[in-house]
Amino acid sequence: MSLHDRPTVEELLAAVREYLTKEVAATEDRRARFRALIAANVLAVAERELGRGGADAAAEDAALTELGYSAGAADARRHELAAAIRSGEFDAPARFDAALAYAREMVVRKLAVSNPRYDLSP
Amino acid sequence: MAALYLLAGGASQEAWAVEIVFDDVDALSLVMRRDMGGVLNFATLSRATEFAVIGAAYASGVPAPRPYFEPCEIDGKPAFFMERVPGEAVGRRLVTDPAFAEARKRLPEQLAEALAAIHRVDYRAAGLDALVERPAPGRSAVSVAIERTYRELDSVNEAHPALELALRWLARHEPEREAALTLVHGDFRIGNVLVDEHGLRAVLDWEFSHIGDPDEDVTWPLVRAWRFGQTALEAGGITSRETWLQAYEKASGRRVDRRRIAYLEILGNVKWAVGALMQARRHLSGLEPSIELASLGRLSAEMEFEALRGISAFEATASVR
Repeated sequence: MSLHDRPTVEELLAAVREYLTKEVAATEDRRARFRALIAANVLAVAERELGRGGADAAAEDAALTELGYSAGAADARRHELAAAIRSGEFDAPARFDAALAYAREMVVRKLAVSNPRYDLSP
Repeated sequence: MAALYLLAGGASQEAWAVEIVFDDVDALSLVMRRDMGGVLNFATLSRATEFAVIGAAYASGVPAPRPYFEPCEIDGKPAFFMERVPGEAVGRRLVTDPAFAEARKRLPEQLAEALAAIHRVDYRAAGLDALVERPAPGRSAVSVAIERTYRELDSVNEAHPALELALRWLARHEPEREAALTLVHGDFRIGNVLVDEHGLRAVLDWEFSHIGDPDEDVTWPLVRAWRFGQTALEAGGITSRETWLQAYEKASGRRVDRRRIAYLEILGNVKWAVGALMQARRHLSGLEPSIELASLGRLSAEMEFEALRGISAFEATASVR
């Protein structure tokens, strides 16, 4: 258990989200309702991201290492990969496919947080 | 002046409703579009140029709001006036609300005719080629778009391997032939048109118009984000891809290459992925705090996914040939 008293961080976020969807969004004002629902959705994204713990970071670390980027912080390695793709280092079909597989896996992980209902069929 | 109220406001532009009454008899309902100083992306027109483009389109018979007076400054900010056309513009409502069921039946043909009319505007005669961006001689519209998207992505200063891969792929698979250059609206889709229960009333939001490849406009409503949740109806959430392309071919008299459209759809997804990242920066920079803008930063992954899916589908059909 956390040092902090309940509600837990997850319970706090859920409470705010429910307040937004059940109370704030009940307004007649179309614009305010729209914004409340967006705010609730943004909170749901944050809740999902917290819920995934370190799984995404670990997966990205392994995938970047496999592509040849093993040293340094993930953000710096991601920048190195982006620059290498731009300079043509991944143009060869096998390299391109490897980078494409990496990119797809990471995008799918981002979608699991940002919009888990997104249709991932090919 | 009888009334003045704000229709929509943001960091880049405002729209005001203006009611003017002459001699207590004739009334004029206008919209004033006014600059607020923020910039949406790297290709946004000035108000004066947007006014000129709308004027040329209106004079050519495009369903666009009739421009009024001359571009001017209101409280030191560039502005112009145009007719206030009644109708609904909210995308999700237009693709689902039963009140627009009849309109949705007519829209494919009406939108195709409006788009073909935009592409027929004699932009040289209207003097637009001196005002709006156009590809330099020898440059393709696609290569210009790719270059601009790279610049926009760099302005976000965040690593996006998926977008880098898609842009690299696009640069290496550029179609050999392009359609003849025309006036291009630049943001032609549901959400930027006014519709009533009978169908299309006016084409709005001309601030991204330029001289370029008309297929860019033909493709833009096919980008998944502009289906407003009706994903099976690939053209704007209102009709099928083929119905839309055939309606445009009929209206324009120009055959559209399906493979080029598939290519441009990948480019469209990349452009909107970067656009969404830039919109989130408007919030993150503190210039325009907005929960809507903030949420767009996390929308970008959807367009990244569509771009990668598009590349795989494009290559799969190539190897079948």
